[in-house]
Amino acid sequence: MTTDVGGVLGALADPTRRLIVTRLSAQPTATATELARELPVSRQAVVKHLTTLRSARLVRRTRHGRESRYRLEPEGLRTAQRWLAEVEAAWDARLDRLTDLAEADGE
Amino acid sequence: MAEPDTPPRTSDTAGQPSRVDRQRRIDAPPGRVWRVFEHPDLRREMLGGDLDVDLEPGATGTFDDGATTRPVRIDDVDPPRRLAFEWGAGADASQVDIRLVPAEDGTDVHVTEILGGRPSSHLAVPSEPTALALAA
Repeated sequence: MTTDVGGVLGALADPTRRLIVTRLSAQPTATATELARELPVSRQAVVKHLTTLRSARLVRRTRHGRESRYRLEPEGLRTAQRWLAEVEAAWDARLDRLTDLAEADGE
Repeated sequence: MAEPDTPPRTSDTAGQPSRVDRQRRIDAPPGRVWRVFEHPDLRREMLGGDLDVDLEPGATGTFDDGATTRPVRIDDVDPPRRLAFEWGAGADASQVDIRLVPAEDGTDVHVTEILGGRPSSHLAVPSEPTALALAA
């Protein structure tokens, strides 16, 4: 299964969603109500952010009776990390070439 | 000189996951480094693709790396100190900020790229790609 890198990074670009991911990384599962208690946003807003995070496959929802619990999906974060590593490598290569070009240009 | 590798970012994955920072000391003054940005051939060689855009704030153009073409918009040009631009579209848009700081024997180059879509509305693409993907 492929994970959409742009979707993952887009989902993580929002500070509240990063807070949700941080909170979920500190506990096995949580409900939207529990997360809303820990965050400066409404439960309704948390539910909306969780939907975005699920869509990006950063978060998985499991149902226990009438209760929805959310847990982190590590594959999404790994995808983001791999992509960031590629972007870093690309800039390292560009900076190598910039160094050569600037230092060679003696005119 | 190459900087040592950036340490693993396991701990800040959830904190600043969509930001890349690179730094390099170059043994040439900022003006010589900046010339690489201005000169089309040198710029192409450095970036690994053709950045076809005027270096003017607000100018729009394209970056073609031979495989893909992405839109580019120049945000700030301050020779020989700062070049900032956005490239890509939708959720793949990112902001690049290149700063040249004079150092004792040359120039410190700081590159920041913030990935994961665009907080501003500069490029003519859907403004909420994530929300659109959800609705689909």
